[in-house]
Amino acid sequence: MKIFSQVRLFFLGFTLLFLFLGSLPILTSLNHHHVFPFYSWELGFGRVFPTAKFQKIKILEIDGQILKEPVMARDLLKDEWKHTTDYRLAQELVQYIQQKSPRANMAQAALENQIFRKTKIRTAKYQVIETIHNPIEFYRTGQIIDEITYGDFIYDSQE
Amino acid sequence: MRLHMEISFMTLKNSGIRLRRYLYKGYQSKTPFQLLNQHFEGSLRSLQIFYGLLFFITLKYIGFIGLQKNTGDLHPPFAFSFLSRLSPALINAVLMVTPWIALLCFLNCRRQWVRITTFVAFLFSYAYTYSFNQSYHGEMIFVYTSFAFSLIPTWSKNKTLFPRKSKHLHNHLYWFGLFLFMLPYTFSGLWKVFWGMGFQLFFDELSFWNPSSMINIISTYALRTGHPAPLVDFLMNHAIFAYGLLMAGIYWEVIAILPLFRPSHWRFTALLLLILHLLSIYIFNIKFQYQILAGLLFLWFTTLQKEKTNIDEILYELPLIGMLARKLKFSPNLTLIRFKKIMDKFL
Repeated sequence: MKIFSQVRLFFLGFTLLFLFLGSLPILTSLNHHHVFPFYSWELGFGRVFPTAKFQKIKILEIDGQILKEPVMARDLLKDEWKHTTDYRLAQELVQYIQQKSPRANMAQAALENQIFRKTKIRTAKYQVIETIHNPIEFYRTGQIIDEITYGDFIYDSQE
Repeated sequence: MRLHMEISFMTLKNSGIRLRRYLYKGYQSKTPFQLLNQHFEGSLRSLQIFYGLLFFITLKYIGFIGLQKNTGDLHPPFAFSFLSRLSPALINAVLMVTPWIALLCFLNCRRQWVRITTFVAFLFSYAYTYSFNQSYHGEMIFVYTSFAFSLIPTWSKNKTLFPRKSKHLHNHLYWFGLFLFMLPYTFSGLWKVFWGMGFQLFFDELSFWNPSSMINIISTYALRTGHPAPLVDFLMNHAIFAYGLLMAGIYWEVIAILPLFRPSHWRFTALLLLILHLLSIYIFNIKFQYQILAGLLFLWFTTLQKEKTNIDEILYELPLIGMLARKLKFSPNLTLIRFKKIMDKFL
């Protein structure tokens, strides 16, 4: 096998290209979907957050009936992505609200489509909540540092 | 200047020869020609199995038909965003056809155009389906490998007609597929080290150098997924053990590309890859089941495995750990003998 003599430069070039493409999302501060499928392979394991943020969707009212206890969106979903879908959607929405970006409306529509249309709910009243906590403390004792509520949203399938 | 360039070129050339000699060191009983044939025939078989695996992976894209109706088109890949405006039916057609193209490729992977079509259809379907707030990179490595395999020219049915040069080219491109299979592991390790050091040194933030970093990451993942994996409780109470696992994982990821240059390490690497992915399932609920199968196919059931593999040799050849083992004169065999002697005294 003449790997090193014949195609050495080719492999080296490819390695450099991949390194460059891997660094694009960080250099351009884009969302990783924009440079798909070459986003960072780091998966966030290099960095540790002593105070983590966690976004949730709390549903207060379904089809005109006020619930005795609020339900989390992930409890309504049944698909294989239910454990991360609501978290990712809520994270996206909160990010755009904080930036005051017009994409917040799109993010809200995507969230409502993924949660309420799939579960065939006609009308709903919900809140997007962000908790700030130390992950280790929260896992052990359930202690929260702060909780922020981002408005009351109303969903109507006929709109 | 010119002299300097010539010298450096000679050094590079010599290093290539030395490495090639090293690669052949394990195969004393076989001639290079026999090895070439063995590798060539083995790679044909594993290519076919690879495309069979791809068929089963792509079958689920049929379930994603009509995805753009149910979900908001929030983050389509930038290259395909215009297509959804142009014709949603076209996207559905591609999603429908992709697995059957992969099946065709499994039945007839000899032809290059079939492999190219499979790669393009697979890239499209994969990029499109996982751009709706469902990031999933369990199949990303298959995109790279199928790209490399699509570069292999069409081969004849009659194996005796093959010239030696085209066998060499075939083997190089097959090896390139394995290279792209292992490269993301190395990059993920390098980025972890790079960003970890950067955050720690320049931004004064915590990184994986902190001993409590692993339990921090574990608890964050457990919160996100909502249902902790089986090993979470144990590791949260044994932080040092968890940190050791993280360090071992990063070490293996950084050196993941090196075993490709040493076929004697391939089976050992397949074993480590299996352990890494099993642990990621039982700690983080991150599933890479197809990657495990592909890793076993490429690295465990390989025809390039050295005839005799010794765990001592592999340990000595690993960077950093090998250096330490050589200095400490550590040998697993010796340790086993000592352990047996001690056990004999007790029993």
